[in-house]
Amino acid sequence: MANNKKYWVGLEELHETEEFQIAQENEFAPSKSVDEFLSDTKDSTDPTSRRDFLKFLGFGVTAATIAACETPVIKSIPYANKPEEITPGIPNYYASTYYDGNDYASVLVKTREGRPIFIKPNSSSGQVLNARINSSVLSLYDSTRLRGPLANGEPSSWVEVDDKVREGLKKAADSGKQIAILSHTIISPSTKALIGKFKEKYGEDTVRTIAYDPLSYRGMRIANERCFGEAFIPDYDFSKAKVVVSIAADFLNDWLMTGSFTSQYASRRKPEGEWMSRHYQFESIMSLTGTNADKRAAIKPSQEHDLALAIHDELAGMMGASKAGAKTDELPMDLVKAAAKDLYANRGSSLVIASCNDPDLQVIVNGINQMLGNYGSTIRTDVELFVKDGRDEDVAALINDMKAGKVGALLCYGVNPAYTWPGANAFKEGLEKVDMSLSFASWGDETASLCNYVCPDHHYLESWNDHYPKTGQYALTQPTISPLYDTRQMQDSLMAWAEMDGNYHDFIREVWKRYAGEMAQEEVLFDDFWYNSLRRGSVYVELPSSGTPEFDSAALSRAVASAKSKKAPADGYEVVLYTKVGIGAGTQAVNPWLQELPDPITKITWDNYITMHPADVESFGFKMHYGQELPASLAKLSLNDVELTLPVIAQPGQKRGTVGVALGYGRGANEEEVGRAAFRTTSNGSFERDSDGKKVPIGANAYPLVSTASGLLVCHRSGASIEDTGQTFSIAATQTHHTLMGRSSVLRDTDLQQFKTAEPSTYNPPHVLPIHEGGKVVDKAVKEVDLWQNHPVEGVGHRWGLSIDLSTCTGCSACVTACHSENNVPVVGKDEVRRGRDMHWLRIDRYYSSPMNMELAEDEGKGVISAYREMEVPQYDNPETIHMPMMCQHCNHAPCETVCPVAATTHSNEGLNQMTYNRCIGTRYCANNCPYKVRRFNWFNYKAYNKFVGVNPAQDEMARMVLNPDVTVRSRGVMEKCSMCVQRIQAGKLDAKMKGKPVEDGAVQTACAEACPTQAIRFGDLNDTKSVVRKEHEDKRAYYALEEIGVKPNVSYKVKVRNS
Amino acid sequence: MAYHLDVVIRLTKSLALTSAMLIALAFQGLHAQDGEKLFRQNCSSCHRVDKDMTGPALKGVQERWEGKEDLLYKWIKNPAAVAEMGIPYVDAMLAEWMPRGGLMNAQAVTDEEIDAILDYIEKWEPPVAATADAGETEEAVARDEGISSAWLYIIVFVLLILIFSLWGVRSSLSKLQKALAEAEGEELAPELSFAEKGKIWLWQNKVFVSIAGILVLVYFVTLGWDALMGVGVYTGYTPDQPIKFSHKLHAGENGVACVYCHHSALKSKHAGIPSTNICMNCHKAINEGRSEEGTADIQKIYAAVGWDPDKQAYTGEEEPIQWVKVHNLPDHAYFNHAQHYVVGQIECQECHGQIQEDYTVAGQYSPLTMGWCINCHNETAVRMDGNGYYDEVHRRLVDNNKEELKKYLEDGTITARELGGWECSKCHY
Repeated sequence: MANNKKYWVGLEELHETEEFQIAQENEFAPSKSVDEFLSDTKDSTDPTSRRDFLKFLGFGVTAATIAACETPVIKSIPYANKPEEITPGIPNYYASTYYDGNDYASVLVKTREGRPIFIKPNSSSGQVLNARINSSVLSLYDSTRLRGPLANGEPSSWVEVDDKVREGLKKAADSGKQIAILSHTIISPSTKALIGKFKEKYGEDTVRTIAYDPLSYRGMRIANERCFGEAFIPDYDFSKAKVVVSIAADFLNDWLMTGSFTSQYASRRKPEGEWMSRHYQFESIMSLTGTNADKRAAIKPSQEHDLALAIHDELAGMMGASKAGAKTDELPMDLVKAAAKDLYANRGSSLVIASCNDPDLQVIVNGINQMLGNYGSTIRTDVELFVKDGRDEDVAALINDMKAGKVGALLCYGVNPAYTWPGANAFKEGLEKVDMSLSFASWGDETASLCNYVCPDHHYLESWNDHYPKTGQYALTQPTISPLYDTRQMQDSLMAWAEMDGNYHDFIREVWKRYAGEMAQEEVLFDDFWYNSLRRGSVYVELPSSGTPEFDSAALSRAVASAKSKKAPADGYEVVLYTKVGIGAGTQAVNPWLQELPDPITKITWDNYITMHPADVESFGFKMHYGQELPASLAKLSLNDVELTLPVIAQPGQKRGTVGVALGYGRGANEEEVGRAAFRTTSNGSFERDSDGKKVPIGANAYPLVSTASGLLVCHRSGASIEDTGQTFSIAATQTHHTLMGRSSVLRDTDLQQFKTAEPSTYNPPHVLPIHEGGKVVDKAVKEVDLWQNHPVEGVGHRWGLSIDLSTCTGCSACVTACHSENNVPVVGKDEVRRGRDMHWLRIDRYYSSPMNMELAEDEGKGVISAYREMEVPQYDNPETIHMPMMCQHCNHAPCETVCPVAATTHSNEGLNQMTYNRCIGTRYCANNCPYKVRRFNWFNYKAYNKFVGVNPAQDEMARMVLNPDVTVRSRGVMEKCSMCVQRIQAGKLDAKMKGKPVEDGAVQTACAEACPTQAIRFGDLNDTKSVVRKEHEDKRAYYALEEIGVKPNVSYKVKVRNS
Repeated sequence: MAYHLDVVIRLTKSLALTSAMLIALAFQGLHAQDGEKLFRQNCSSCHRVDKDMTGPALKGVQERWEGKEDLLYKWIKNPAAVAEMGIPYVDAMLAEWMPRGGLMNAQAVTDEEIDAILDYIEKWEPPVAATADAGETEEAVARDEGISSAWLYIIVFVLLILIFSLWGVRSSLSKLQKALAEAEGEELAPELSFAEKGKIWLWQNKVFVSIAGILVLVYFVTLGWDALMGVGVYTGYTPDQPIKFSHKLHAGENGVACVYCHHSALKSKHAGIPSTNICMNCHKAINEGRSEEGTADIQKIYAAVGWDPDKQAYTGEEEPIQWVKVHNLPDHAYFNHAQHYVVGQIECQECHGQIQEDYTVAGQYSPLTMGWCINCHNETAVRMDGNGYYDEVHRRLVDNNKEELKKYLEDGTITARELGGWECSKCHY
């Protein structure tokens, strides 16, 4: 029976309302009927409908997928005519010489397929490199270098520029005005000869050469002129000095010929040696040299004269000579007395040096050395240094002449006075009155941008040159690559303007032909001599000693009188201007490797700052600490009309009442084209701009603070005032914790006395663990206790290892930049460093001593927490400092290996902890589990991501050529770390296999070991019982960092021994 | 038709010529054949029969030296001595040819051998017949292929006709059946749709269907797996190259050692594509290929290295040849030819195949996958004999860790893997 019940949807249906009836007819009630839809012209004429879009999308994705599977066609283009010496895949080495007016060193340039990619020291020369020199290879490829000559700021051609310059020079010569060549100290005999020819062309009296060194040593030369009648600088021999007293001379970083001094100094810093030198340092800032001193005291720059006189008086007292009557109040007399005693005890084998450019101080220092009989032993009077011959007074005179309109043409070579000259405005004013100004700068820098013509010089790796840095040492620079841009060597430009035939290379050969007889031991064919010299890079000639010059004691008494009558320093802070290890005088401020290099003392990157004694910092209420989210206070330093606004850093060891500011920063303040890395970038990678829209330089230029009061450039001033701006400024530091917290298993140091007399277990105690054995607790050495099966590395094949001697490590950081260069380590920029994401495979940890330790706390009845809190604070006045290079320790029981979920980090049977990028999925467990915190994670694709355009050289189409082709460029999301230069190990093994010989000790070197100027880092095969590194590992000073955790590293450290 | 006639005529001509030559040769013993070989060995690097090269064309040499045949023999054996005799003809010749290639080298040949060479030169004819032969063979090959494919088409056609006729028969049969049933007034089973029929068939053949299903599934999975595993594997990749260089001719027939051209394999990680100046070591003299293409390709070498064959001088205008890279290892994988070829003493052919027989320019023979690499490292014994490096490694094992050595020697050999050939950092850094 059918059910006749009826259900209504609602009252509307029951009543059959009108709306209901309409609604019922349109079941789907479209907002637009089909007809309407189709008739809507707007819709139908739309070229891509939604369906079409989806079709295209689908097709596109499929097509792209299929296309991606196709082999990309890669061209392989061999040489048409292969140069005989090049084998693709095999590096060539060329001996050359680096000289930029400040640093000098013999180098070996590694080239691959004709591209220089690495700079290493030329060990046959006895000179070593610093971070600035081994980073110089990157500057070669900088794409911001000028690519051709400029005339009035516009690109021009050499022919055009040559015509105009010749015209300008002629005009200057004809009008009786000067032609001035303003350059850094020229030590090239050929360039000097060439300038002679240039003078012949334009008039002997017309052409003037003025040497200008922004870091002046003129005072030293004047002092020697007063003492010995000749304005020379003698060579120093630190390897003969049993006692070194340095008055603020930073000879391990930047003082005369640092390249020679560092290795000489380090050769006497090993406690095992016949004797170990004792090093006293008196200085205002904490310098690199100061951190290495056995005894150090902080003094104000204005006290340097008094200090020198005090040493003089102490010695005079011991020798029975007349005293000068020094003011000794406020001086660290304990140390002065101790130093004088040591100096006296080691007469004839001691050395006193000072950095100040004041002739009076230098005369007093000379007097002390004369009293001690150091001339002829530690001070080589037979060898003269020809570097640093800048004449400050000549530069000042030139600027006056320029202002008076007496200069017709100015050629600036290797100098940037608009940036470095303290009275830069006077220089600029004068420059406007010069009829023709010209710069040979490689960038459109501060001076070049003001000149009529810029004739860019080659990079030194593209140039020919010769050098005569000191008596008897001739050296050559040879090109290792064809010029990248349309640049021309300065000397070739001079030859073109002097209308000489030939080129500079032939000219050098001509000059050397004249010298050949003098230089070669015996008569040889010139070509043999020339190519031999080129191959070796330098030639040494023993020249007969000219004997010790007569010392004029009257000069000393005059200097003493003058020093004593010196005015008291003006009230306020005394400012010390210094050069940092990375940036130096600022010529390479655009080099990102150097900007990213942490300063060895403060560990701060990408900035300069005001260093101040922590108590002073506190007294101003400035921030004491800085970190990722802890910005530093911004202070304004003003002195006369110069104002610098910089962050303030509390620097232990700084003298109270002084501040330190590094030179070389603030490049390109008026947006000159000085390069990318000199400017601040924001956290999104774009350049930071000020309110005028100008790019903001990194740091501030401190050159205007250089004192010219005495007519000489002196790098300290008094009477500065510091003002709180109330603002803060973020700081990117790689280390923000400064003390060891009593962890002797990380770092160990002792003094020479204890080392000589006590058992090794007192200063290098073995780690023991209490172990339950047979129901008893037994103390066992850590190495005997193991949870793990041993890796079969002992005695099997190779076992590569490093040894690091903390006694000779000076913290100079040459290893850091060498590692950067060798292993394609990415540069990440300030913002990332601040976040602790720096990528250095090798870092140098710097620790200060703390006045508090656990024993002391116990004696004083302090609780553990307050003791530890106090241990976090370094000694403020004069901390002991240790530099500790830290890289992957290649643990045989590596904690990182066991936690990797994909076995991307594994152990090799050669003792290497291998990191396999293509396996890594980026979980970062390994980095968390690493007790040494040496693993680095690629947070970004640094070589392509926008944020790093301004800082990462791999984003520069030219600078990419510096990458080492044997090392993978890592991408985002993988972990990386020190590989112990496995590419070099593999190459060294292959070389041995091909020769059919065992790997010789020393044949394979890691980049850090190779770059180390003091041989503190040694590398080798621990399974080779005769190897150096094996001996170092078995040495009584050897220990493993954090040995108690039992990870069995293949890197050992040697206890630092101080001769205090 | 005319074309065919032409071929026939050419064929006959060449046959006649060949037989004539054969008859001539039969009379001469093996003289001329030896002559050709001797000519190739001793003379061909500087001389052609019909063309001036580094040295003059040799056709008509006997006429030129007529009356001084003894001297010719002496000249060939010791040109320097003859050059000093002051004979006007020789002096004139030297004046013309010395600037082009210097004095001819003394040849270590006997008088009989010189006879054979001269004989060969005299009998030499431009290689017309050879071209005809080649044409003929190609034609034959083409005809062969034509016949086989025609057969294929016929078979396919016949089969298609068969299929269609059977289909027709079947459908008429079923129509007939239907009509018959209708005529008999039987109630017809409702017409089943195709899908329903299929379902019933599937149900009835459960076992067969499931087995077949599984097989098909396995087949497709394997296919997919292989396709995925093949991503980035380019075995057999043989791209077009700017020059049709023949490894078969150079390394195979002429027996040029691989490392003569790929010399950096002796020192470096790259075997390297030889630079053009290496080609010129031989091709300065050999300026003709076996075919017109070959000759044209040799001209490309000249263009690349900037060699003017007429003036026999370099112009200095270089334009490197842009080869297409065949073996593309990923950037994160390091491979070193010297390690494998010099130290491991592995023949090139093990990874590159019988390139002297098979390939025209170059093709990828091995898959270059990591599995392929480590498989070889697992199986290959390290060649330690006579290498002081391995002696030292071995000594350390014997002195310090005999246990480890025993482990290595369990299978009788020390393989690359046992010395660390499976470790990541051997190839990835």
